[in-house]
Amino acid sequence: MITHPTAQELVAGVAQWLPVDGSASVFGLRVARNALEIAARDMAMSPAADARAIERMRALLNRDGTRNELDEALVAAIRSGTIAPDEPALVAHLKATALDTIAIDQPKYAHALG
Amino acid sequence: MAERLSKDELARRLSVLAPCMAPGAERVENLVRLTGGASMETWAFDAVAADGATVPLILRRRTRMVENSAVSKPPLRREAKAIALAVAAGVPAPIVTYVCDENADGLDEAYVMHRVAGETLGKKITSDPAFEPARGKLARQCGAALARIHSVEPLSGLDQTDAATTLANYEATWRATGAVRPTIEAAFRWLEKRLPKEAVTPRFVHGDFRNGNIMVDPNDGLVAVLDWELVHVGDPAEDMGWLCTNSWKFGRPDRYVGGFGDVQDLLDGYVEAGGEPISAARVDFWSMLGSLKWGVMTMGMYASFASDPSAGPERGVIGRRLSETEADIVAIIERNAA
Repeated sequence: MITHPTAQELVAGVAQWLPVDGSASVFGLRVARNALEIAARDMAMSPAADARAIERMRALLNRDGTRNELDEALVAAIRSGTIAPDEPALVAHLKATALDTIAIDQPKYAHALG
Repeated sequence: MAERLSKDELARRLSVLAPCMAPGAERVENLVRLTGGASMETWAFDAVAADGATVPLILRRRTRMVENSAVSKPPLRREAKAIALAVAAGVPAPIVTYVCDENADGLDEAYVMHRVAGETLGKKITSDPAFEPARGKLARQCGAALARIHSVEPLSGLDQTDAATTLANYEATWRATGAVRPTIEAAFRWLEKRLPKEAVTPRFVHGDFRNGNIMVDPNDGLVAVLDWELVHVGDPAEDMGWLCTNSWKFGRPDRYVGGFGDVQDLLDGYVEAGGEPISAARVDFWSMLGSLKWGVMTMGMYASFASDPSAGPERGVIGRRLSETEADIVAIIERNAA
């Protein structure tokens, strides 16, 4: 799940900052637009991305739960060594998750993931 | 907390100091604020003599203390000293002409150095056709500059870290954020299993050596190494790995070194300039740790946004750059499993 910031925090942050007296710099406005675009993509794409992640993690962990519960359980399993960090099934999940997340956060980023 | 100064007041205080900054200078002109970092102000100006002769200079000045607890920044006075030592060792870097007296000069922590001409925009360096000649030689030049930096006798009082300590410090910082991200957890565990086993001689390291912090001429390549605020003592491969971390490749993940060059050129340039040979595997380890460090740092940016949203969403947006580091981390895990 994407937090730090959530889509709600991004939108609220822009609203709290946005000066209505026209004093915003072009740079500031560009950053604000970027923040809103991230939030909009998050709202549009996260439900399906979460559903896919839940499905993968249910198979990986052999249990049910919300996206956040399963993320927490997966973190605990990796931390305790129950699942090795380079276990192929885990890497496949992390890769699919990374691609879904970057498509929301920074679709133009030239990452090294094939 | 450092004093907020208006541009006019800053110009007035700098003018008083002009004779200390350049021989024969009596005033300063053309003071312009450059895009600064999060905790620092950088200004460009000219020191002007009575006969009109000018010396182009840069002022670096601390404006607020940093909040990222995984990174401790040495005082600016020590940064200036580090640059002087690096220049003496043959590293291309701007010559420091004056270190401000915090008590007398009214500029808080600050120093003045020569203003060097060149490009620092990472995207231009990796992608502008005009920089093609520079790209052909830059990795080797970076290797040579790093070998010379790593030959400097460390200043006293610098932080000393190694891979294990760096990993542990960043893990503690990561835990404190409360973010739940399996990829970041996997990165800590993956790196922990692969800590360098060979004996590593701690060296004076730059700490922020990457595309974006080097000044490049389209034809001549490396002109100056900038941004010395994170100098410390550590594994020399740390500097190489940071240069090879994907977040600083500006659209060219296919070019391993900084988005502009090959790792073999970097390693060759290093050894040719007297550096102790470093394995590509250790550089790769540190490049992954580089992605992880940057990921954790973005959470510090988020924390700053969350504590004061009225300052604008910029740091919140940087918090969303955690996902770029996850993509790069998974790519490295995958590449090493193949």
